[in-house]
Amino acid sequence: MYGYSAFDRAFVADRLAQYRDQVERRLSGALTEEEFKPLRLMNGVYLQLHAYMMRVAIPYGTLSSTQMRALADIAERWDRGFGHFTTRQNIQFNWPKLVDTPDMLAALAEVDMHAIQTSGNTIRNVTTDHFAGAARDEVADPRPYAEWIRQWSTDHPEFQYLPRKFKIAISAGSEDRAVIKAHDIGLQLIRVAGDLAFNIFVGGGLGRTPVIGRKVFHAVRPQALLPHLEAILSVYNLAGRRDNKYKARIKILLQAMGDDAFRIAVENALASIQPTFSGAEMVALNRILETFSAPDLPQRPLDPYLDALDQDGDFRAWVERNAVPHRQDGYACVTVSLKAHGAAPGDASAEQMRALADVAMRYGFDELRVSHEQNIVVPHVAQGDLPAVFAALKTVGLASANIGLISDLIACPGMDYCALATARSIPIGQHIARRYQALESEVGPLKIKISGCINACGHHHVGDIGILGLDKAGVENYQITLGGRAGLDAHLGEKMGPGFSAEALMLALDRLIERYLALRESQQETFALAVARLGVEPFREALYEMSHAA
Amino acid sequence: MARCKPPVVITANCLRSGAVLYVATDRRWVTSLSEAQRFDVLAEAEHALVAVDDASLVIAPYLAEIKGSDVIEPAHYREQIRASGPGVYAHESGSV
Repeated sequence: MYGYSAFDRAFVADRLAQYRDQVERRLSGALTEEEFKPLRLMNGVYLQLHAYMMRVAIPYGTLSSTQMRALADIAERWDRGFGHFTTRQNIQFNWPKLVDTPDMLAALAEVDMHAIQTSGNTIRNVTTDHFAGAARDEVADPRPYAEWIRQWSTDHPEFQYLPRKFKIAISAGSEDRAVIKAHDIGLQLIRVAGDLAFNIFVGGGLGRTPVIGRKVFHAVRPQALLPHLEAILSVYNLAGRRDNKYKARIKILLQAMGDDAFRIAVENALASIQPTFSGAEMVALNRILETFSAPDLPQRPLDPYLDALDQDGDFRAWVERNAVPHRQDGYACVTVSLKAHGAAPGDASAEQMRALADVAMRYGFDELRVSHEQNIVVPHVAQGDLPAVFAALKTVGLASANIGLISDLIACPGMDYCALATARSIPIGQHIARRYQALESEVGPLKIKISGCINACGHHHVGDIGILGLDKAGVENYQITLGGRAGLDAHLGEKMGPGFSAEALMLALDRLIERYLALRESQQETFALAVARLGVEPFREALYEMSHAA
Repeated sequence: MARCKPPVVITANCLRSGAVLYVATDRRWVTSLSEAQRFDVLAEAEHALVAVDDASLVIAPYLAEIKGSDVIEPAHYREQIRASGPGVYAHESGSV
C-alpha cells in the first residue's frame, strides 16, 4: 500500500497551515464569506443544512487499520460519533464546527490523509474496484495507476479551475465494479498481447443529464496514459462551457463536438503535451508499483471454516452473501455490510470503525476498502478466519448477510443533511430495508439506488430500481426509473412516469416486486434479467395500477 | 429568487458551528424556531434582514416562510428539516 513520502507530508502540512490561517482570518472578519468559501471548499469543508460537513479523501477507497482508527477518533472527538461512507469511496463527517476543522485536518495528516480536492472544479478522488488486488478476474491491480493519477492530479496547476468537477475511475476486471462508464473518464485496464494498456472512456456521468461514457481511445500504453489524460483535460479546460454549470461537464462538450472531432482535438493537444513528459512519471509509476506488492498469503487450516459452515446457519448465509472467491484459493474477499436493516446506508459508528480496524489488523493484512456501494471490504481473509471475522462483526452489528439484496441499497445523504437536496433519501432507504427484510432473500439480487436530487449522487440512473426524490410544489415526490445497469454493459434506467409521495412509493414498490415474483421464470432469473427479458412495460403497469394506488 | 410571502422568520447558519439560527424578537440569534420573531409584513422583515446581517456571526441570512398563528411552523419541509434536525438518528433531532 502506498505511504506518504516526505514531499507528500510537507505538501499536506503546508496546506494545513494555510487553511488554519484562512479559518482564523474568516473568524476575525479579515475574510468575507465570499472570499473564504472557495478556500474551505478546496479543503473539503462544505456548509450543509444543519452544520458544516467535511469530506475526507480515501484514495481509491483504500484504508489501513491505523487510518480507520483515526477516522473513528475524529468521529468521536469532533463529530457525533459516526461517519458516512460515500459513493465516491470517501467519508463525510456531518457535524464538524468550523473552528475545529483545522484540528481535524491535522489529525488526518498524522495518518497520511487529507481532504484536498474533495470539492471544487478539480479532479476528484480517483475511484476503483473495491476488490482490486484480490479479484480473480482482474488483469492487474488498478490501484497503483489510481495512485499515479492521484499524484499527477493533486494540486495540478492547470486543473484547479476546470469548468466543472471531474471524476475518474479505473477498473481492471472482466466485470466492472467501479462504474467506469458513469465517470468523466473511465479507464479499463486490459492486456493486449501480454502488455497492459488502457481503454479510455470519456463523457460518462449521471446527474441532470445522464450519459454513458464512450470509448474514445483504445489500448493506450501506460507510458502514454498521463499525456492522454492531460490532453483530454486540456481540451476540456479550454473548450468546456463555463457560462452554464448545468452544461459544463465534459459529457456536454463531447456531445457538442462529436467523438471524432473531440478525439482529433485531443490528438492535436497530445502533440505538444507528450514531449513535456520526460520519463520522470514512469520512474514515479515504478516506485508506486513497488509499494503495492500483494501481501504474502499463507495457507491456513480450513477446519474452523468448514465446521462453522456445517453448524451455523447464520454464518453460512453470511458467507453466501458477503464473501466472494479471492484470486488465491483458501482466501475470500469479505464485504462488510453497512446496511443493517433500518440503519442509515453507509454510516458507521466510531465503535464499528474500530472493530473494522481490528478485523483488518488481525485477519485482513491491515487492509480495508470502501466500496462505491457504501460498504466496507476486507479484501484478503483466509477462509479459516471467516468464523472469527463473522463473530467480531456480529458484536458491533456489522454482520448483516444482505450484500446485493434489497436492503443493500445506495442512498445519498439527501435532505437530512445536504443543502442541495430536494427530498430525503436515507429515511426512504431505511423504510425500504425494513419493509422487505423478511422477503428479500426470496426476491434475490436487486439493486435499489436512491438520490435526493437530480445531481444523482445515489446513482439512481443505473439501479435496477432507481428512485429520485424531487420537490413537487412543496411536497417530496419520488420518481422511479427501472432497468438501469452499471458495469461494462452499463445503460440508463427508463423513467417510469409520474412520481409518488413517500407513502405511495412503498405501495408502488410492493406492486413492482409482486409483479416480478409473479413473472420471473425461476429464482435464478433476477429482477434485472426479468426486466431485460420482458421490457419495462409489465413493471410500469404494476407501478400505476390504480386499484392498488394510495 | 422569488420573493417570500409573509409570515416569515429570519434564518441563517452560525459561522463558527454551522448550526441553524433564527432572529428572536430582541434581535439575538437563537437556535430555536419557537423563539424566532414572526414578521407579518414583508418590508419589515427585509429591513430587519439587512440590520441583522453580521458576517462575523452568521452566513447568508434569508427569509423563510412560516405558517400557523399560535405556533411557528415552517411552510416548507426543507425548513422543517432545518428546524428539527435530520430524521435519521434520534440524537440528531433538535427542538422546533
